[in-house]
Formats: sequence, structure tokens, C-alpha cells
Amino acid sequence: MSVSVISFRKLLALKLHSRYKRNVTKLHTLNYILWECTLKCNLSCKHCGSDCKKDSAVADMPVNDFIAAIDQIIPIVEPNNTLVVFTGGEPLVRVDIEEAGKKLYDKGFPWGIVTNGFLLTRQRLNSLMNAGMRSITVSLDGLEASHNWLRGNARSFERAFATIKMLAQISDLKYDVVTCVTRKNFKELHQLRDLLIESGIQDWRIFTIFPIGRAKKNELLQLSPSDFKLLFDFIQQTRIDGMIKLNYGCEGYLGKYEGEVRDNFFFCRAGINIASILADGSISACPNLRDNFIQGNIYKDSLADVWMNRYEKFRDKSWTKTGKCAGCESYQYCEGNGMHLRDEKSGELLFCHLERIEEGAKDSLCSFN
Amino acid sequence: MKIIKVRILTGYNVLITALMTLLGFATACERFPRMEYGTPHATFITKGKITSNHDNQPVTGIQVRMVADSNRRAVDSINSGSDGTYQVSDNFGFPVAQFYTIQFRDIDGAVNGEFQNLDTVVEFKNPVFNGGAGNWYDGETQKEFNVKLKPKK
Repeated sequence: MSVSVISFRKLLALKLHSRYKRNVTKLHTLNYILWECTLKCNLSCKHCGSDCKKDSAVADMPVNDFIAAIDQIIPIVEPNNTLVVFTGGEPLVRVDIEEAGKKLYDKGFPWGIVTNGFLLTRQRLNSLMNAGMRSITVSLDGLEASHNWLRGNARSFERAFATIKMLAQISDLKYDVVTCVTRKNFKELHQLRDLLIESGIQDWRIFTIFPIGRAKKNELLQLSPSDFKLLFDFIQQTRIDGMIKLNYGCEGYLGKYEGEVRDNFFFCRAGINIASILADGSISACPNLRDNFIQGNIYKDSLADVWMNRYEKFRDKSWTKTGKCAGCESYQYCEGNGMHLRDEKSGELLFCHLERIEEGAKDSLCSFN
Repeated sequence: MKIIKVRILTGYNVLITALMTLLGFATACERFPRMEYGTPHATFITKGKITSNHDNQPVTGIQVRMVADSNRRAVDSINSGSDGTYQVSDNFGFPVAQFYTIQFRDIDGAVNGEFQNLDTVVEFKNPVFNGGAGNWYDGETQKEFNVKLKPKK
């Protein structure tokens, strides 16, 4: 059965969800801010979507500059309901993120980090938690050989896994493990799932790698269409089994898999609820969106003004109804897929999840026949 | 955006979420994409007794509103009981030092006597929380605050 053929009940829910999205878009409430606090990174990952390097040419943004931008938005947000996430690069290469975190916490903002886990010792974790950190996402991209291959470091699995096991022992912290699925680790997913369950991990999130940054030039990072489709079958079955809470990432409309492979229906909230402050001060919607998606710069513009008066292309996505999206029956539910999957200059769609799953379903049928 | 429009759109989405729950998609409208994107919170309780500064008798029927200073939002409202006691709380306060404005209003006219309004600030300095759930909920903390209202002349 085609992945765009959906049950009546789900179709009704998707239609309601379209209306819900429209209302949320009109409300345009900022409640999630990503701060690309550094472009420096201790690893050199093959799939990295950012421009990070061990010694980046872009100097780290001073904490006070970032906090000054946050101060500007206090009148237009509910700080307690606005999460700030530090990303990078690798946030833990900065020794002063605790200072930034503490200042945020004192102003009422919850905050967390996304990390490769390599540098996280118990001492550093205590220091971060004392500064108010309450959430952390750690990457684990397969079993040892494939994780180390992707991360470009022979000890990265050992260190990331030690971090994950440490986090599993701490009750007062929300965490999850994120895995980027590639051709290299696809066949290990069952083993990886068992390993995470054995280690006491409760939340797991899977992403696929999209063709930007370093990932664009490496075919090994992209799943074949049939594996891509099988991935969603794996996620669906794991959720039914209920031993670990597995979600597919926030990207991509998935047709009949909507509501089956993640808690929420697809909704790209970039620029609708999400803003980002990039390393050079650029104001974007999510850190994967650069070039023509940039809306301003904290060194020239007020973050509050930018949020209130710009982000037009996120608030009205009719411009995405071009190319293959123009005649697509699922457009009303998808609205042009994740914004990060559109070319930053031309706006063309680079990757359609639904199309790739359809291809995978056809391939599977051909091999079966 | 006008407050009324915000309320309409928010209410509309509450209705949609309820309908989707009926359809079996309770989490489909999740506010944040993932669980870690939640908010640490705690319960801040202010309670006490309202008496008349004229005769020290309990004052009934005084409206007590608790307003969070962080966003100027009223978080709770109650009328004082027959013994003059009241308790208001913010169930979703951020678990750090907080200030709340407590507003006392005589809204029942001559019934139970007529009293002047009073606004006062309660500070939760270095709060200690009890009964946390070991996750985002840190527990509760409370302050006792007795007030004496002046009768209207």
C-alpha cells in the first residue's frame, strides 16, 4: 500500500492538525531558542551540517552579547516556557557555558545542551547542573566501529557511551540519545536498541542525514530507498514493543507513518516557535538554516524586533509550493517539508521523505516479486 | 496581536487537541518536538489570615489574587473564608527566587464590612522545595503572610 494512502481516522486528524498549525503560525510564539555558542569542535564528524572545525576562524560569541540579546526578548516571551538550547560545534569546548546558563536560569529560562558527550565528566556535569542545566542530548551513532567512523575519533564511542551510562543514573535531568542512521550503522539498529535498553536509556531519537554540509559529498551517509522505508518499520515496531521510547526526529512529512513513528505529527516549527542565534550573531530559525534564511544579526538588530516583524518566509510558506511540491497531494499536511531541506539560495526542495519512502516501498515490492 | 485574537486562536487549538485525542492522536499536537524541551517548575504557596486592623476580627469574602512579577500574570485567585484565611499558589513557577504581588480586594461591598484595597509583594528568597518528583517538578515552598486591612472611612 502506498505511504500516502492513509486511514480515514488519521486523515481527519491530519486535517485538524493543518488547522492547528495555521493557528500556531498566526500566534507566532517564540518558545525555543538555539544558541550556536561555538563553531569549535573536538571531533570531525563526517555528517556535520555546520561549518565547525577544531579551531574555528569565527571567535566564540561573548556570553554578555548573547545575554543582551536574550534580555531584548524578555518582554515578548514567557521565560519559564522558553527553552534555550546550546549547540555548536561542541558546546562543552567552551568553559563558560555555565556562566551563560546561570544567567539564563536566574532570568527564568530553562536551558540544555546538545553534545557529542566526549568531554562530559561527572565534575563538569555537576557544574552544569549547578548552573541550572536540566536537559541534555547526547549523540550515539551506532556500535563502536560505526560510531567512531562517523565521528572520526577512535575513542569517541567509549566516551559517549560512558556519558550516556552516567546520565542514566541521574534522576533530576532530562536526557535523550540521538542516533544519525547511515548505511554504515543501519544493520546494527536492533543491537544498538538492545544496548540502550540494557543501559537503562529510556528515550531515543533517530535522525537520518540530509544532504547539506559535509554530508552532501558522502554517499555512505544516505540510506538507500528500501532501507529508508525499513527504518520507519523498525521505529514503528520498536514503539509497539514499548521497551524504549523511540521517536523519529522532527524533520519530514511521512505519510502513513505520521503518528506511528513519533509522538507528534510533522510540523516544522522553525521561525514559527523556534529562533536561533548563530556563532557570528546571525539570527535564524534553526542552526541548519543559513544564507537566505538569515533574518538579522544581534549586533545590528533587536532580536525582539526581528522575531515580531520578520520571518515572513516561515510564516507564509506558499513560496514552497513549487517544483515537485506544486502538484503534491500531501502538500496541505507537509507544507514543503522541513525548511532545512530546502536549498538555502534557490528554495528548491532537496529531499522529500515521502518520495523516498515511496521509492523504498516500490523497491521492496520488486525484490519480493 | 490583540489579546482577544490570541485567546481565540489558543482556545481553538485546545479544541483541536481535544478532538485529536478523541481520534487517538493525543500527543500529535505536542508543544515541543521532544521531551527534553519542557520546563522545570515548582509550586509557590502564599497563605495567611486577613483581619481588620480596627478590631482584629477575621474578614470574609476578600478577593486575593496572586500575580507573578516575572510576567505580570495572575496565577491564582480566591476569596477569603469565614475565618479570614486564604491560600493562593503558583503551580508552575520557575524554581528560583521569585516575587509575587498579592492583591487584596473588597469585592462584596458592604457585605462583611467595607475595606480598603491592599497590594503587597511577597518574596521567596532562596526557596527550599519539598516533595519534588525527581524530574521537572521540584516540589513546593510556602510563605505565611497575615494581613490587616483598613476599614473604609
